Amino acid sequence: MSAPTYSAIVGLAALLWSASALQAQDLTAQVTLQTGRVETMALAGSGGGQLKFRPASQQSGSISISPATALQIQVNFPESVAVGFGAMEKGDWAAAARLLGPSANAAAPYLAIANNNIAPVVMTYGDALRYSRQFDAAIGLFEKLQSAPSPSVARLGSAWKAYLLINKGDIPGARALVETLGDPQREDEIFGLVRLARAMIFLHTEQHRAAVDQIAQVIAFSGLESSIYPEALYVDGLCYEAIAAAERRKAEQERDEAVKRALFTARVRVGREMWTAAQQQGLPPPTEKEILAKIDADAISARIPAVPPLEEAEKYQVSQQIYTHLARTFPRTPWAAEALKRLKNPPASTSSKKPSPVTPS
Amino acid sequence: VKFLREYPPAPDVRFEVLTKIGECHVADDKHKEALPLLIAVLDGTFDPGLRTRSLTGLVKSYIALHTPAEIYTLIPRLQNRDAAALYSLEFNLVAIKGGDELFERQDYAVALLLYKLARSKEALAAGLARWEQALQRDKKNALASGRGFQRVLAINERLTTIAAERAQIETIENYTDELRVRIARAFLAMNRKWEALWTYRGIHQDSPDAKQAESALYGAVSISSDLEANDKAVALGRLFMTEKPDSPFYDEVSLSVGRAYIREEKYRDAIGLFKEVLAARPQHKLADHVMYLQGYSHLFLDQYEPALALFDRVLKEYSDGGLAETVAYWKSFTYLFQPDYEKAVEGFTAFLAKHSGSALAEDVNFRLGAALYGSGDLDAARAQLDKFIQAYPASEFQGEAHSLLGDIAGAGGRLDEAVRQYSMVEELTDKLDKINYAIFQIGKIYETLGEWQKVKDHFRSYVERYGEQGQHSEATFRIGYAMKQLGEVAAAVELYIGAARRFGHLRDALGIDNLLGELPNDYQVVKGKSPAPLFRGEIASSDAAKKRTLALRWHMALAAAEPASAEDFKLQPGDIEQASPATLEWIGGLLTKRGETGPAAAAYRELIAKYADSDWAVSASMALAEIAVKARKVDEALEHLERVTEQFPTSDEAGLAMKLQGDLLRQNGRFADAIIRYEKVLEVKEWRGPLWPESLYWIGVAHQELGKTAEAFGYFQRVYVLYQHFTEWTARAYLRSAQCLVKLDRAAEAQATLREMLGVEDLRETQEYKAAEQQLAQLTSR
Repeated sequence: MSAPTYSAIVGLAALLWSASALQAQDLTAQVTLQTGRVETMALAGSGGGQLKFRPASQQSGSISISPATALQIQVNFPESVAVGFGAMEKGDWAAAARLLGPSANAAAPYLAIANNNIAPVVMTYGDALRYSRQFDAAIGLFEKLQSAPSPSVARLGSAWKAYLLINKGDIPGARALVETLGDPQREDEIFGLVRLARAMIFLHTEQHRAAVDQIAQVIAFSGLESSIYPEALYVDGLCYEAIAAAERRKAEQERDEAVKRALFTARVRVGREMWTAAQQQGLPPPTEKEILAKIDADAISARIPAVPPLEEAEKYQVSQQIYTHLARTFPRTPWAAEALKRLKNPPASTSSKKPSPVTPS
Repeated sequence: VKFLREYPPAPDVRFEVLTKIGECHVADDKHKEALPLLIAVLDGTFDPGLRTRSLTGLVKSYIALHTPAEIYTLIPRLQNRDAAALYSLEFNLVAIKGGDELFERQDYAVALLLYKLARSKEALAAGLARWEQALQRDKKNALASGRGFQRVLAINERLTTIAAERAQIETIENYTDELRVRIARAFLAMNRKWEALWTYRGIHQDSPDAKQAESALYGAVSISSDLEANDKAVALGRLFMTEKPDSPFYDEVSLSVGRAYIREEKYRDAIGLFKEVLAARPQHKLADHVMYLQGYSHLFLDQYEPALALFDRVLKEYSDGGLAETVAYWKSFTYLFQPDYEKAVEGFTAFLAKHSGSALAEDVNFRLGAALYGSGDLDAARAQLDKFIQAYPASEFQGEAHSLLGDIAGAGGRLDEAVRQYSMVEELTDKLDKINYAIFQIGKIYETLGEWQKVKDHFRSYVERYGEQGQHSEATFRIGYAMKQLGEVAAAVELYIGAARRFGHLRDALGIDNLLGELPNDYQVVKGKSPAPLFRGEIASSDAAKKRTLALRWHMALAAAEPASAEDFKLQPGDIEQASPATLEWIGGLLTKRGETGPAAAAYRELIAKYADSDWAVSASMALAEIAVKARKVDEALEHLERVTEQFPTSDEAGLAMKLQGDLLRQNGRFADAIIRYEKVLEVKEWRGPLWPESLYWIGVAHQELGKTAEAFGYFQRVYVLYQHFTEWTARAYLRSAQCLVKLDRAAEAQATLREMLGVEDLRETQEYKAAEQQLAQLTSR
């Protein structure tokens, strides 16, 4: 699956970083044109399906080109972007969003050029926004992508927007947007994201089996490096937990019915015996109260096996396993924190036993 | 170590040496010694090559030291700073091997983590290629911007390493599908079945020709079936059966598909599949299961004969198999529903004798009682049901058992006992249909006894207890009926009007349809005036309140009170979807009379769709057939008539429908098919009456048309010999007989037949009588 794998790209990008001292508003880039010429130009926005550039040496004036006429763009991101990535690694998402925002917003329209080094910055900025729950700002970013000249970028923007709408609680809006995206297949970049969104919608509407079917596809077909993998794991855990709870509710209802039936039967039998005895002795028929007094309701109820606690349910245990795995694998994500809250017995930190580095002397 | 101690090197050399020492320790199984060195490398150098080697060693050591959970601490690094390690072939192979070791130790979570960390061969190659391209770009940019020789050298070094890795990858066998199988197995071991299902599915989708594809698809089918994801089980199973007809898993897969169909109640599909499977694989190793499930599917389609045949085959041919008990149960069950009560009794009795400890014993004990009741052995049924009630006090069949005991007591005329038994049903079940049956049976007993006050009180109490959950409108109708018997006609009329106003907006309140059938006449009797003004007012107020179902009901009542008013009725959009069954029937009839057959047919079709099991569906089908006949749509008419004969096979209408099918076929020259239909009419004793001589007559005519004169004569003869009191058919049959005899060169017998006919006084008024006189005269003159 080629779903967002930008965290891995981010890893590579970090190795290859060529930071410049330029400020975000003055972003420059090496643009390889169809002619093979490489031009260094400043980014000047977009409009009417065209990308705008300005010669790096000039302060004003711009040229517009169609995204198709550029083969490649390498933006010279400022130092703040590298610092922003560092903040992401440390889990300081608000700072990361602040640092990445200006460059990501300025560079986002240029994603329309197929070969670029922009995607990691924009997507990581999107991550920073959603991790820090700045959903409106994130929606703003992805709405920009929705109107991008490239259809695949536009679809990516729509998919992310749908996902964000769910987080904002706008399920009908999200559902409508997801429906416009059709049924992306595994080779489609938005496959995982659309399935994550569908799973979340199904979970909201308590269609748990449909939800787990969708999210299992994300888990099965995505690598750990996928930016949505941690959240997919969390949703996966929620699905198993919800199914376990629903199955237990059903089992409890069935037990209640069985107890009710047993009590009915006892009442009828005791009533019949008392009625016969009363008739034989010439006494008045028993009252409802007298009959019920003769029935040991607790004993009858105790004979029907109790439903085991939720914690013993197989699917609940699976959910706990998933939350544990999530908390350990992706400790710096917000979903790890959420997973820890849902764990009955949170795991002990594995890094506490870290041996101190020793250099032979 | 000596080198480091004696000649402290530059940092890059130092970390290179530390890495090598760490790797030596790992190779010597001295993992505790290795760990601090490898961690020191990770913490001290930015060299991706050294970091990758350090990570590889750490993974090996954590597994060897039985502290695999420590691997989790490496993950954040691998996702960011050390992502390069993921493109190292050695690291990947260590991850897979480590995963295997942990899987063996049943540490499935970390095993899965390692498997998921590992890249497929293709991903590894593609990742390295991308990385190489990126480095080439960077090198080009570095050269173009003149950013320094050192950087270009560093890039060159990385490019050399990558080239070596790529070359090495080329030499190894593809392990991708094996890795994915491992991932699926790990998911399955952790009870994460949905994830396992999709992983297996992915293997087959991506590598349909790989050696793992068959078992992967089989795994996906098995898990789908286990999860009762029926659509998936069918789709994947069918795919498997098409692609892998010679697979050793074929038999199990085909059974899984059949089970999925059955879970979805797609019995016809299941039967089709099982037939196909048994034909394709006579040596199917699960043939007994296939036959049993095929029989089970036939049973649920009410196809008792094939079900019994299949159950018998399983019991005979696979008597040693594990299905004997189950199949014996379903065989007896089939007899019960067929119904062949004697055989059901025999079967259930034998079952209890042979499988007394069976989990099905409770069920069988109850059904034996029901079968005995059906067989007419009421004493034995009563004894069996009493025994059942005592033996299984908590059974869910307790209510039904008392209901049957009520029926038995009622049949024996012990009405007090019947009432007592029916009364217990309510206490022993919460199934409203069972309760309703018992309540209405009690009502019927009171009505039979003429205890109208009890009828009234009984149903009033029922309406109070169950409100709109129960069959309130039917109960209200019974209350009103009782009130009329008690001379409280005026109060009954008020009750009916009140009930219609309260519940008439509910489409399924069928009792309202019944009571509105009586209200116009009752009102006229009580008030001495037409109810039409009242009904018009009700129509207006119902429409104002947007209760169209109720308004339509009042329209129907108004038409009954004042037939001319029907001319003003105009069907509005949406009426058909809102009208109650009686109203739909009325609308259908009205529109048919007006010649608006399209909307009329729509009303009838709605009636059939929504109330398929009701008597209304029968009359609607008959009406649709009539419309189709008028429109000369023979096949459509046949379809409607066949629905009646299939769904209500013992009803009076079914006999007529069967005869009409014969008529249609005959009129359209399909004489052989027509004969089959007429003969079916003659098979059902309940249809004895005018249908029999008519059917005999038309069989004769059909034979005549087919040129089988002798056969035709036999049928005509049977009409006037056996059914002489049906004068119309007798007269026609005499005439046709004479025609046949003439054609058979038996003129003297023809004359005798005509003379015999003319001697029957009852036929004198028929048209055929004069024709017979003329024919006789002609024959005599010849």
